[in-house]
Amino acid sequence: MSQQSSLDLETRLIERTMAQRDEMVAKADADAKAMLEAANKEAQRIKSETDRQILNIVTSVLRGVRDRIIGGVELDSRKQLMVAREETLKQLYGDAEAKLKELTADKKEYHEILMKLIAEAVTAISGEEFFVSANDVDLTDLKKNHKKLEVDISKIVGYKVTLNLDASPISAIGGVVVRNAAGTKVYHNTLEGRIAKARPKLNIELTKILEAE
Amino acid sequence: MEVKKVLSIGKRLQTILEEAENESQQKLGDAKRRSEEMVNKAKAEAEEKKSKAQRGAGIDDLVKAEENRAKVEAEKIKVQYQQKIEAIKKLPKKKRDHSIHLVVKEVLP
Repeated sequence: MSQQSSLDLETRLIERTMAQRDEMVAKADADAKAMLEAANKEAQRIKSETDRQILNIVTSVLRGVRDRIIGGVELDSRKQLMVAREETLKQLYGDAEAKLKELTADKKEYHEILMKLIAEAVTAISGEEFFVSANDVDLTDLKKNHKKLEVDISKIVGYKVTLNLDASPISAIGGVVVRNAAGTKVYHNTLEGRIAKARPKLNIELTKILEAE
Repeated sequence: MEVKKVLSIGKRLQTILEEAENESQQKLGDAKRRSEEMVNKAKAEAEEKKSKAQRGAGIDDLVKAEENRAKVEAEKIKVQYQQKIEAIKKLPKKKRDHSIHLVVKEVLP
């Protein structure tokens, strides 16, 4: 081997080895960098996720604070509104009863109403003989026209009925309580009774009126 | 003589490569350790922050601000309900008459 060829071989060997070395170190640098970048990304992800979870916790705590304060006031206010509504409804029903009492003073109009109330009770119970209870004023009027009453009611219901008038009056602003002869069926058709019966339906309608803007 | 020289150089070059290999392994090892430290630190900080938040620590100002906001809103709600209550209590004559008429109409046969 000449000296020149030996030098060439030596140079090539050194160059190749140094290239290998550089490549090896460069790869290690790149891998290390990638590893650190991935770790940094993961740390950021953990931080973001934690921030999101903390936000949820804080939001939940704040919602609790808000619900406690607003919820309490709302509950209390709703209760007060309900009480006010009940009081006003009570007044309205009282006024309506007074109005009905006024109506009973109009003898002609009220007589027609009373006829309808008796006929309605007779039809609901069904049968031929009945006992009719009413307040003292109505009882006096009904007794005066007892025969005519039977005829009129028979006409309204479409068949002959016998109506017995109770001797003792009931306490009512108007209307009647009718029972069959055997006393097994009773129909409460007083004006107060009719208000009580209609009350659930009326409460809904009246509340709408009360709370309408 | 020349062959001996080449062999000697080859040995030195082999040493360089081994050192490079060691250096690379060292760099990767360091990177791995630092990566693990970074992630572990993030996890530990996250746990600490969550634990604090769960205890309500560090959010006093936020709670106070929310309380104040809620109180203002609650006051508005209270006023709105009071207005409704007043309107129901002081029912206008027209509405009162209409309501009574409705009851009477429903009750009469």
